[in-house]
Amino acid sequence: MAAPQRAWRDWVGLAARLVLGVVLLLAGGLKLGNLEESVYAVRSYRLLPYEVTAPLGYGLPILEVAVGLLLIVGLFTRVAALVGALLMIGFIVAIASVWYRGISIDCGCFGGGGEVDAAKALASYPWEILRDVGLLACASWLLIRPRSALALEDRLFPPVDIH
Amino acid sequence: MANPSTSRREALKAQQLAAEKAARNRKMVGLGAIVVAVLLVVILAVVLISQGGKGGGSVTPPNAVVNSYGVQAGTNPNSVKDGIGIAQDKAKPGAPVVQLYADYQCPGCKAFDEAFGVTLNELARSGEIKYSVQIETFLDRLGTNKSTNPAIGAACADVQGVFPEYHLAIFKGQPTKEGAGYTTEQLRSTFPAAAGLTGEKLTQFQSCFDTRATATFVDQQNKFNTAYTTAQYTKLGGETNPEAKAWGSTPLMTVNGKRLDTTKLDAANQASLLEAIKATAG
Repeated sequence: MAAPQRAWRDWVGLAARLVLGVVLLLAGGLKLGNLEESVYAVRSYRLLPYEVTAPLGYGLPILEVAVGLLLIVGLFTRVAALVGALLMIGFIVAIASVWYRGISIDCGCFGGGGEVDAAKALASYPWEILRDVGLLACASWLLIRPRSALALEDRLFPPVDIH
Repeated sequence: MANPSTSRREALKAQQLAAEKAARNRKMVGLGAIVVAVLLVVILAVVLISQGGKGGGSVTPPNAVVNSYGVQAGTNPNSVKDGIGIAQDKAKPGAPVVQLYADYQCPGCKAFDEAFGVTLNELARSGEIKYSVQIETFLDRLGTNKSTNPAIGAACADVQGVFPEYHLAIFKGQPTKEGAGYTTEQLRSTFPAAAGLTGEKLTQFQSCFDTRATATFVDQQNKFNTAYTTAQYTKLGGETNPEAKAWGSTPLMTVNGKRLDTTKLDAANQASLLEAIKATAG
């Protein structure tokens, strides 16, 4: 049987996977080298109880790297997109909340974190939220339509209904 | 009209399809389980390694005290020791409870301590105040232990009975460049010498410092003091309220749980400190 023509939506899916996947891989990877700083960044949001901040600070970068890798290779795309979407919603809520409460911090999105100059923080919050909304859109696309071009899952688990 | 041989073929095909689908599902679940398991193992390993790296023992300094305001505020529900008291046994009945929240890396804390540190120790020893130092190490970001190391030294100094002197020596020796950090030489030799430790006591101090024997206490201290001051900060409305902001900064001095504005004190008039303490205590 001839290879079926790829739908254009499959290529959109691939783009969504790569954009979200590469950003998550970078964000997590840059934090992996300094996990205490990641914990500190989580704390600077002043949102969560102290006990929760350490596991979250250690766990988030690893989760980001894992989800990023799954998306890039195209494995368990829908589950990875779901986790990615939840992460983005969490980040958007957290940044909006520090913005609303007048706390001036570096979002710690790609490492770093902690208090910064108020003007600098206020200038970056809208862009950070916009970026995360864009990434949430990528995740949502894949959540609704996980099929995409050049996905590893198509090779490992080829659809069985076509004979 | 149904052809029996066709329908048998179809049934066979459907059976085959179902078997293939089941095999595909098994494969997916299997690989999914492997991915999740690897993820869990990595997270667990990272957490264990990062905890192990900190190391340190669980020696509690003899003059460790509990900040009862933190217990009342619910930020330290189990009454874990979170400060080091200075001559608290000498405090007169009803003496104001004075607490100093500080980070050894904070330049403002150095300025305050150089202005009033000696007087505070004297007031404590004469029983005028019930004094404790509540160390925070929040300026630390990992890799660095620049706030934690002097705090460990200070707690080890308390084991040898020279916490007030060591505490003064730390601030006196604070690097002029903020964030440069204390050298091991300073913490291990210079400050204990300034605090009057020699011979056997110095050796004991150094062994305590080298093994980070008071690390657990220091960590608890930071945790509960940060939790308490952050809770006050949040309760007072956060960044927009200057009073809340002061609760979120160091140095922070409280008298009977109420904040004393240290920026209004005059270092040239040492007697003004006790007056301000009494006025705040009410």
